[in-house]
Amino acid sequence: METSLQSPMPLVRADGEGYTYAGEWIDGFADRPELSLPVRVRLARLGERYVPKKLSVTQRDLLASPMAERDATRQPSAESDGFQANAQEMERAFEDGVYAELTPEQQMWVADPSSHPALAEDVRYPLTLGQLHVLTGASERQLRHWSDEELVPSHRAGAHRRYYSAAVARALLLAETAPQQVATLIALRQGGESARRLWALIGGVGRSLADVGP
Amino acid sequence: MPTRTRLVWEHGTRVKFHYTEHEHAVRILAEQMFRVPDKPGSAGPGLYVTTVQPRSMPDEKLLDLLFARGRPVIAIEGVVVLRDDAFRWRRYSHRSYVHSASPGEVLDLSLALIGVGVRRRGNWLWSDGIYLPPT
Repeated sequence: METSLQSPMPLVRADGEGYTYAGEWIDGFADRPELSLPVRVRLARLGERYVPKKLSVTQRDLLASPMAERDATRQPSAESDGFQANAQEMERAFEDGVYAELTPEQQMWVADPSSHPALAEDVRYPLTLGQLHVLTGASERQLRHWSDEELVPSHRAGAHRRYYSAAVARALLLAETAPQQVATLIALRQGGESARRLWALIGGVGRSLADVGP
Repeated sequence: MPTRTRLVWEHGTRVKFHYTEHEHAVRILAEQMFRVPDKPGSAGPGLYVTTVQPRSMPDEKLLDLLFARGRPVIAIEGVVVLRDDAFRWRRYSHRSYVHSASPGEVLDLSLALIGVGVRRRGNWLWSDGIYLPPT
């Protein structure tokens, strides 16, 4: 059963003549003393933006309080920043052809992890290490190693790693890749002499393939 | 017979849509903030929006319109609905607009956010402000 989406704060209506809050459609932005202080501050800020001439004295006092300043200068959570970073990681993975390598079922798991039979229906991004392990079949040790080697992007939320959709796509692919090939990828990423040797060998194979043609 | 609930833009209200992942849209509803990505889009750093309504064109076409380098479908399974006058929008392409801002800058959406929608397993679910009230 899908839960409804509700904002924790009043939101301006599309017509700008009032707001929606807790399932109600309210006209105007008048103060409501029965609501919590943060909600009243937000209402006062909405009133200041859309009907400044109708602000009450109480609402002007609320706007002059430090709480109004704090409300206007909030910062996104680590999870929110994780989603923002994931958008770019997703683009890189798409350009690299990662998604094209996934089966339709795996693509469904990336889009909606709760569609995986071993995960609960309410599992949502970002995922924990344990959830990523269940989803991809890779061990937690492998996943930690791939994260440390930056083959799988992860983001910190306090002391823990959190994984977003681009990480799932890459981890699914790595889990189906032979360990020797993953080790080669890590060697290439780490650079140094062995990486230079590998690049030289890859270049040679590439030229041979080009000579043979498609 | 019950009538289909109408969405605000179906009533003619002009809004802007920012497409993203579904869980990112849920997070934006909870926090009502947007951090400008570090990597600039095709029209520079900022908040990118469109006038293309959800369900009005096939996914592939919308992805082509929004993302020059391509993205998987999950990138458009959430939508953040903003008032048309939320920010100063600059049109940079057909039905595409950007509010220019510095990389990493935090935009406060709390005075301009109408609501969000998420698509899970093909079904769109909307937050309260997206539906028109019963008349």
